[in-house]
Amino acid sequence: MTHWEPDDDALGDELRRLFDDDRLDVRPAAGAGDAIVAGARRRRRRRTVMAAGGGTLAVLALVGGGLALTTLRGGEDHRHPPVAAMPQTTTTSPVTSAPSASSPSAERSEPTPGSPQTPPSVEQQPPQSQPVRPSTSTESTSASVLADRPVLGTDGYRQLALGMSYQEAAATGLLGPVETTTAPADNACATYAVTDGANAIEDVTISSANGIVRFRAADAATPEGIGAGSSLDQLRSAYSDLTTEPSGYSTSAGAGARYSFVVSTETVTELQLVALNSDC
Amino acid sequence: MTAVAPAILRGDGRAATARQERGSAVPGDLTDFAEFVEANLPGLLRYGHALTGNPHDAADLVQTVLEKIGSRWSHVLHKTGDPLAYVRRSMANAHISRWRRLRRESLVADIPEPSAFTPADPFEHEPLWQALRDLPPRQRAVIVLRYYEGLSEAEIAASLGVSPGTVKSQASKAIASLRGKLRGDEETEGREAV
Repeated sequence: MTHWEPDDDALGDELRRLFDDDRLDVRPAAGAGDAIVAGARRRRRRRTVMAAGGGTLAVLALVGGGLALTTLRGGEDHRHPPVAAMPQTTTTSPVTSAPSASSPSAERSEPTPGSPQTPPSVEQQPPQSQPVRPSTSTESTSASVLADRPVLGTDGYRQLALGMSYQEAAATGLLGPVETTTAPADNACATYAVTDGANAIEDVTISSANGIVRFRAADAATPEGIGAGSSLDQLRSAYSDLTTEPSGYSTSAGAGARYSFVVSTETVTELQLVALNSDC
Repeated sequence: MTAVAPAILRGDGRAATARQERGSAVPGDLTDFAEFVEANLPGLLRYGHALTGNPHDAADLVQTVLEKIGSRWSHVLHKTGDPLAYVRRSMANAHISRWRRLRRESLVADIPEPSAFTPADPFEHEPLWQALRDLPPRQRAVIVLRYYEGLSEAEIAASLGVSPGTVKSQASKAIASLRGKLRGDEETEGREAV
């Protein structure tokens, strides 16, 4: 355990008191849990349908999902159903600061502060120069699960390719609701949702000078099957030339781009494909 | 509320069952996910409030992250022994990257008008809360992980996928700017008569 510099005297106490304050509570709206489960189901159903590509599996998944959804209607049509009820404290909040930390509410204590399930820090590990290991049986099973995911190739996703101008990208019909998007201003960049219903790509960033310079994957994985949810071990086995980055790792993707992997607690949390000439 | 802790244990215990269902197209294990959400939603919303600074963004963040994780639930259970910790880390990271994205967008478009109805901020008279509002999200996340979650420097580094050195420098920048802001407020109040 690294020790903090002793800068957490009075201010640290104040911060702890503030974060322990009851006014931080946010009451979940009725049905919020159902709305979230429905949202997760919707995301998965989209992915399953895409992956199965028209087989009977897809039909089964659709039927299963559809049946379940009719009983879980809450908030189905809203992008953001009201998950939180408004804080009940708005009208009654005491103006003076609350008395110090004597309100350990139940949910506050749930994370068991400092529960260090976190394995020892990532970069402590010596650079493993072992090349790609020949895959073992366990790896091949997890790879086959990942292989069903949509692919963010080294040049892009579906018709969207790195370097494509805003006009070309918009013409594919894959960019967010076209009525509401406009081209990036001169010398600027803008980010657009990808709306092909597959939830493969979260968004693309387009620079006025260099066209599409970045893809942020949602469910999509690299051709090697690495994406959000892959373990650090899987990442390391898939790429032997990883470069350490502030937020994770990167590796070259073709001549003009890199895959960037945001890694948190030994797990890839986000995949991006970033052009080397990105000016964003 | 006392049901919270046992529910977490239950989630862990079921990981083995969920694993057997991996690869199944039928969303059976979402029952487990529903229980997990039900048990942890209040705590996660509270944590989101600390991270984002307001209840709306907290709800937004919790929903987005939980939907994503829920859609890969058996995979997540399989990969991490502690799904709750995984959700919390994902929230911190999602909050940071969302801000980056919004900032890029704001280069070309004005930030939309705030909605006509903005509920009163329960912390509007808390100078420290107001000072936290001005921190860049990565600094704020470091502060929240440290003082809300009670994590060590190394744990925060692993959570956010940055080096311990970065955590240290972000934390001291954050502390310095909180101090400066609090001091500045006192000074401006003192000078108001001039």
